[in-house]
Amino acid sequence: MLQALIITLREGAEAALIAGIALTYLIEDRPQRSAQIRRRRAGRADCAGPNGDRKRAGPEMPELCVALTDLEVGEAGTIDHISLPAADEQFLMRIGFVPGVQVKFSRRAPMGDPSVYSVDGAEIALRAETASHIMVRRAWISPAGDLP
Amino acid sequence: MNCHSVETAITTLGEIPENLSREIRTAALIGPPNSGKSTLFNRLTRLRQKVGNYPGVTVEQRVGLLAGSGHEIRLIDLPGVYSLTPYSDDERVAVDVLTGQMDGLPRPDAILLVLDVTHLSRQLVLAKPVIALGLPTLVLLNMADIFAKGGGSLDVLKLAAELGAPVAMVSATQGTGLETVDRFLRQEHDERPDALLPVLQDLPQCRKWASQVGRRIDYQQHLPSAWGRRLDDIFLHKLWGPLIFVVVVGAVFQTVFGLGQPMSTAFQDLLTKLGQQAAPLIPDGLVRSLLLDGLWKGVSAVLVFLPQILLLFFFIGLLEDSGYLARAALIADRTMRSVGLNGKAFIPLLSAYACAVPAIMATRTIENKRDRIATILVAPFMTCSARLPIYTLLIAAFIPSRPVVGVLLDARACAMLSLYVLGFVAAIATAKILKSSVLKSSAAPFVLELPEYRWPTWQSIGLRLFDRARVFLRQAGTYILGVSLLIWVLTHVPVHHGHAPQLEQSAIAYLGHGIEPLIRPLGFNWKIGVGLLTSVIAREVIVGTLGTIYGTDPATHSMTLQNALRQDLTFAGAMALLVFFAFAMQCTSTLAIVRRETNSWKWPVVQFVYMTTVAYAAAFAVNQVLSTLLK
Repeated sequence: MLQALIITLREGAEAALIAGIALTYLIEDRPQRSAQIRRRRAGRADCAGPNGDRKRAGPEMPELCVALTDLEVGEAGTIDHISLPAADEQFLMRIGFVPGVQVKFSRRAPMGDPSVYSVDGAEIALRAETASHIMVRRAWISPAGDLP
Repeated sequence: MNCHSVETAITTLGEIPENLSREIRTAALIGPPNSGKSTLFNRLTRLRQKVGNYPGVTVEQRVGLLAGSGHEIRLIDLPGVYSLTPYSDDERVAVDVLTGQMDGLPRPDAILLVLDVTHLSRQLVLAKPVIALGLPTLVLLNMADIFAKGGGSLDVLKLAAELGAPVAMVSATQGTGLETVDRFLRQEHDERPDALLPVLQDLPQCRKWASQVGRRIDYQQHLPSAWGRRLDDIFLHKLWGPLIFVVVVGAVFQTVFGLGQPMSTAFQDLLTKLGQQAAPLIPDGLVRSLLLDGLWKGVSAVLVFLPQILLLFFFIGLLEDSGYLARAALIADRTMRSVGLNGKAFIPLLSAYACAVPAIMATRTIENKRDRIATILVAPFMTCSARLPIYTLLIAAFIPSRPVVGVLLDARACAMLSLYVLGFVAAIATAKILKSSVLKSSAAPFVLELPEYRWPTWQSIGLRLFDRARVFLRQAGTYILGVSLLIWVLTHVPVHHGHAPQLEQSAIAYLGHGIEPLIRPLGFNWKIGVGLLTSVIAREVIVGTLGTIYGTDPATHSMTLQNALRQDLTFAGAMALLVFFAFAMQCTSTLAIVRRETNSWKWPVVQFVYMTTVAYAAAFAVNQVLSTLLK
């Protein structure tokens, strides 16, 4: 009984190790997203703050404002504003989602929905229903959608 | 939050006497959630205080004495707060203690502000209002070991100058830097009546200030170790993540059963031998019967489950401390959402696997009142460790050990797992009903922080096991001993001509036969009925009660409890009993805590009636279906 258990555990650990090594290779060689997607996104409106004031950078390089959920995995942005009721907004700010702070889309959860965002060095999971109300500026995209 | 609130906080404190130098008698530990306050508290006081690698473990203030020489200093460990503007009940506790508004606790003379140095920019936001309280404050930058290993650095002296308070780098898990705390607390301090820091209006500005401070002190963020990220690549992988989740849960159950069962049997042999060794030392007669057949059989019937319970807690501790549990919560979130429960409900529900009492206390982290009550009401459905004795007893007696999924899972572990699933299904079904009717509310944002992976320390897990064993032994020494005594007495009255009656003529049989009509449709005999009555106190009491009843019955006197049950109960009845225990609310401690937390008798009464009804109906159905099928 005990022996069978030890063998099972050992085999399981070995399998997990092999799978893990294989996976890390798979994940690191992910293809970069295409410029096409970027061009499609470039059509979005600029950020309007909670008071309606338009934040606009120079015309040569407008900063695009998108929901946190619209970022690609691995992409970073700066939080512009949170369009949620005051209580929820305060709550998210206390966790670290404060306007002006950089946030990175780290990964999606297995089932696709709660996604993990990296803010201030912490990894925080949010559901899409919440993250879609956090507006971020993707600072590095030119109007043509090319990499800077 | 806004930092403006500090002003009001200070005015409510009244006048602070100037230039009053005095020694510290009480110090409070405060900091954001999951910054390591409880680990530090344990280190400083050498007192047991449950810690875990996820936010929200401490929900009440705890008091301990600072270890070491010198005058007595009381330390208060507070729940984690992000600000001094309380949003949830656990934050209110912290603020009340700090401002001296908590009954029975003096206002602290000094503050130990614990910040996780690996996330300093976010955590510094709290420093400003805390230091502005004007109490002598020592800022402790915790997790210095992880920070240094990840290549992080900062100028401690510059930070101290920025904050106007001494700063020390510590590592609570490694125990480094703690001598500074001792030195600080044993010094005399001048109270500073005025706040040195500018008070800012709102959170974005506070955060900006924190970033500026970060730049001025040359804060270099540490890089999380690459293997942590790689582990997440696997544990949160689309395909492997859920698979590993299932395998981990399965392996825990298989080990608790596969490894725990032989351990329990060995322990049982030892206890039986002890009883036999003691027998000749006690004069034959009533006294021996009381001590051995009554008390010892009752208590040892429950004691034998200690190895299994400790094993389960060992694994929970391992998963919790390593940081995997938060990942499991992420994977489970989809299920939680589909029943409309707050994402934050996952952690209380998870700790309800150990015991519903701390779980119900942990619901204080849920800001929404209706969500909180819904979580409190469903928590006792989760399979707590008090159900383990009766589960293992019946499964070992009635379910043969036979492989189901190769060597991975055998029939017994499978049965155990399905009971856990059953409890979970009952919980989410109830939550769904509650949330779509009486307790409807809009969902609060779900936020789950994924802590970095850490090696669990033996110390933390050891303390946890010790604590659990202590609680279990205390139960065995009080309730179970008391009930065993009562049952033994009831089996020995009424006395006929100086002799104890036959079991069938005793008071206990009278009592048992009294409720028999009610439980016969469930397939239970009167002995089980007595067990059901006594187990209203606590679930594991039934095993002690059955141990005493079968132990005094001459027909089953020499058998183990397992064999006695196998002879006395049908398969259908045994399965019905398992299902009954999966659903029934048999725990006075839980009812008491629900009363305390909801501040009304309504909810505990509703909960008791609802759970008992469900248990009765389900047990009835199982017994009827199985007995017709097996006929």
